[in-house]
Amino acid sequence: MRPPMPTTTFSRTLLITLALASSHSNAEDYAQPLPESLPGITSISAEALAEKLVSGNAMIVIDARVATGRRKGYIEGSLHLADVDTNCASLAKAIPQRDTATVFYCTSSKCGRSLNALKIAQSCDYRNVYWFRGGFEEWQNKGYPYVSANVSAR
Amino acid sequence: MIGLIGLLALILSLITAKVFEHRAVDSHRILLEQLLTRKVESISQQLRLEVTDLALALQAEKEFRAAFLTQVPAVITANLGKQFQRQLASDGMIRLNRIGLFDAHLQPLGRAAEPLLKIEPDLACNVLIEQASTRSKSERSKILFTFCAANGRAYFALLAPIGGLQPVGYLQLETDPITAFAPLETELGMPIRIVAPSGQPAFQSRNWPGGISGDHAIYATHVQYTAGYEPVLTITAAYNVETLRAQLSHTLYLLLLSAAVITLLAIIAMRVTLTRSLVTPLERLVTHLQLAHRDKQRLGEQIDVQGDHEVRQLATTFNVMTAELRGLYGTLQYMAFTDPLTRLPNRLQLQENLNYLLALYKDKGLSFALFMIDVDRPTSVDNNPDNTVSDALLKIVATRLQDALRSTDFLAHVPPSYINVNVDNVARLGGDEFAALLPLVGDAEQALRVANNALEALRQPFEPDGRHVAVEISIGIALFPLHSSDAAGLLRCADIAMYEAKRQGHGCAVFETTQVQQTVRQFDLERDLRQAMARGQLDLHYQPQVNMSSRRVTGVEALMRWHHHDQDMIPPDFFIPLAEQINMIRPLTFWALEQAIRDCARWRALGRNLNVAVNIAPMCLHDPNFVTNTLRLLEQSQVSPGTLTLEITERGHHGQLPNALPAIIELNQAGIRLSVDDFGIGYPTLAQLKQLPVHQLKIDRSFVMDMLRDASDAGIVRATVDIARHRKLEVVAEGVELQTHWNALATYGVDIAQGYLIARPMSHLDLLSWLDANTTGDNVWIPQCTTLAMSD
Repeated sequence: MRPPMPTTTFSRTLLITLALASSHSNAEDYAQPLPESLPGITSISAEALAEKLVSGNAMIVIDARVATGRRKGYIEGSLHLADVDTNCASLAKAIPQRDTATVFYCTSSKCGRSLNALKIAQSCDYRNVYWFRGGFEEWQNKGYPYVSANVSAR
Repeated sequence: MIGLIGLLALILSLITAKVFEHRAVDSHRILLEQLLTRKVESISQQLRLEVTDLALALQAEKEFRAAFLTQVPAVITANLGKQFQRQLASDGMIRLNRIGLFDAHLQPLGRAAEPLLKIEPDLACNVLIEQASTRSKSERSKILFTFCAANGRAYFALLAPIGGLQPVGYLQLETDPITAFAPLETELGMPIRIVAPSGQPAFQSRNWPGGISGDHAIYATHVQYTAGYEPVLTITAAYNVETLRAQLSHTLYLLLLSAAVITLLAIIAMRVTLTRSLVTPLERLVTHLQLAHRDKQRLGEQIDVQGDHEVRQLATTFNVMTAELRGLYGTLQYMAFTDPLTRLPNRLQLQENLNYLLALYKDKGLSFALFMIDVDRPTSVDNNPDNTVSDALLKIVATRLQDALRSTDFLAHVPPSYINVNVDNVARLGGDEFAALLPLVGDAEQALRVANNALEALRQPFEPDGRHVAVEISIGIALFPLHSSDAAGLLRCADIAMYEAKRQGHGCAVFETTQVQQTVRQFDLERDLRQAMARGQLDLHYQPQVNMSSRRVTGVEALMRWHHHDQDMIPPDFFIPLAEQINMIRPLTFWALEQAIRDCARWRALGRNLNVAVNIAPMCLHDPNFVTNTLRLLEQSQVSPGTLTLEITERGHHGQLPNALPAIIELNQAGIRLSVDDFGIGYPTLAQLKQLPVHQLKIDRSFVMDMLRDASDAGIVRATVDIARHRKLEVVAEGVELQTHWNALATYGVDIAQGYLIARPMSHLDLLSWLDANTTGDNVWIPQCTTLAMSD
């Protein structure tokens, strides 16, 4: 039996091409990845973050994503403070002591919210701040455990 | 050419289409494989995330946590069994097969399998535990996953920590990945087939085309490997190539169609362009060329064409060339149709004009006149060594003739239809001969008036080069159509009339029909004479010459005979001048010489030692090769030069003899005897005679025949003999017909006699017979008649 062919070859070829294009652009936006490092900003990798968290150092992890990003899962123990809500007052609430090591993350290296929030924190005179550039995507891809949104839903 | 281009375009299209199809299939396969790989990777990622979520969700469950915290395997196993019953397994793309639980030190705490599958609960992918046991402390919280194969089946296994970054235990989930990959069939929109590690298909779309290779479909395969790079899953997608082919042939059809259309358009465009830039201008050029070829008057017409640079260049070259040709043609025409001295039309142009006029006047009842004009220059002008006076004179004559003949005042009535004719009509035919066409002259009376007008004009004295000169002209007049209706006839009639005018004394004469018969006869004879030699109609007769004192036949005179085919015999007196006129005299003389010398050789071979005398026209002596040729003839026949006498006549050639003097001297030196023929009636003066190295004088027959009746003739004969005596020359008398002649001549002391008294001229053979009959062995003549003896 012949397979049913729903469309013409041309449109099929087009479909394949589009499919390839969409597989390339799985990210939530089409922005270019942010630079690896920026002056005055201390970056931290997933491994380093995990190490610090595992070793029990006092560290605050801020999830700078908006609510939709948070629902995809988050690093265990992270505080949800979207960059749009970040200011000196909200920061003061989340981080009682300004010298506490604080890590900012958002969705991925293409997401600017963590950097934005970090800069706000710096402007509010937080000095011990880290930028987890790879964000949740890197965390998840490197196999670190996280809090699944499904879990909370169940 | 255009067909070839079309064919090439078609071949190109076909090749392109074939290559395109090949490439299309290939690129389709590559594209499909890339797509498949991406999809599998995407699904794998999704599967991992979903299984991770499931693992994280499981440990969040309260009863599970409680069971785990007991660390009692039985409790844990029981709880795990419940998890399958909670339908977790059927969630999304996950089909959970087994769950395994480990403590913080990776020691197994319990395990369970999906009861519906009836499989062993032993975990299939122990590799994850092995991997986990080797990692460092900070790595322990990481989630591990892999594809693995066991008992011919494929699994996707994931090991997740329990308790987040500070693991208190581990949870391993093993799922069936086929469930996750089967939806590829809908996602790709094409049948797929998934082969398990056992080699058996674990999944196959219902519309799977069969096989994994072939012409009907494009097959793209992705192989999923375990962590240890062993193949776990072979996923193949099939794409029906027939549709592609159909599409391709459709494309090919379109391609060919467009190629054909493009080729056609290109051809049309090319043709239009060629026509505009090349064909049309070239056609114009060719047309122009043909026109110029047909009508030379159109030479030099310039042409302006639009078109290619090359064509314009060609046109420019054409224009330059045609202008040059026109100039050249004009010059040539001028040269061909113009007399260089007087700048009058020449004979050719006259012919042209005559033909033109004939065509114009034919069947119109119109007539015109043709003048033939001969100019008699005085001898003083004639003898001018460098001809400048002569040339100047001719130029003045030409001008006066033109002026006299152009004037139409003398014409009483000019018919209107005559007006169109160009009357610039005087032509110089050569030498002293002119001709004129008078289109406005219709009858003899008018013609004579015009002619007399011209005569009057030319009678005025000329002063070329400051010298006073007078010329006389003779004009012959022929009328169209009265005398002849064709060009040759008219020219001939005018010519005859001109000679008539000349004969009558200088003036003019209109052609008369009586003149024609004689002339026509002469023309016929001319024609016949030219053919006579070739036809063997010419013959030599020999008349004996006898020494009057010894009576020995010393020689013979060769006389030419022409046996005309319808006239008995034409005398040399008639045809020799004719031969001179038509320039036949040289070959004729040479023929006679050759014949006479040959015959002479024969007589001598027979013991008859005769000399032979041959008549030579002075004109022959002007031939630079004459002496050489004569000597060669003598040598060929082995006849000594002294045997030959050349009789040079003076008759009708007054004044030419001195020009022949070098030849005469040369002949004399060679030992050839020379005789002055017709002595007494010609012009040679005694002074001239003095210069000539001749041996013999020949008294003309007229004196001999009349000397007995006319005392003055007798005196001439006597005087001749005296001169000869004085100059030590031999005297020959011809025309000796009577015994009384003989006697008288003997008295005068003439050396040799020739005439009917002795013998008539005879043929070569008759001469031999005559000699046998009338002479002794040593050529002594024995007269048959007794009268001779009486005179002695």
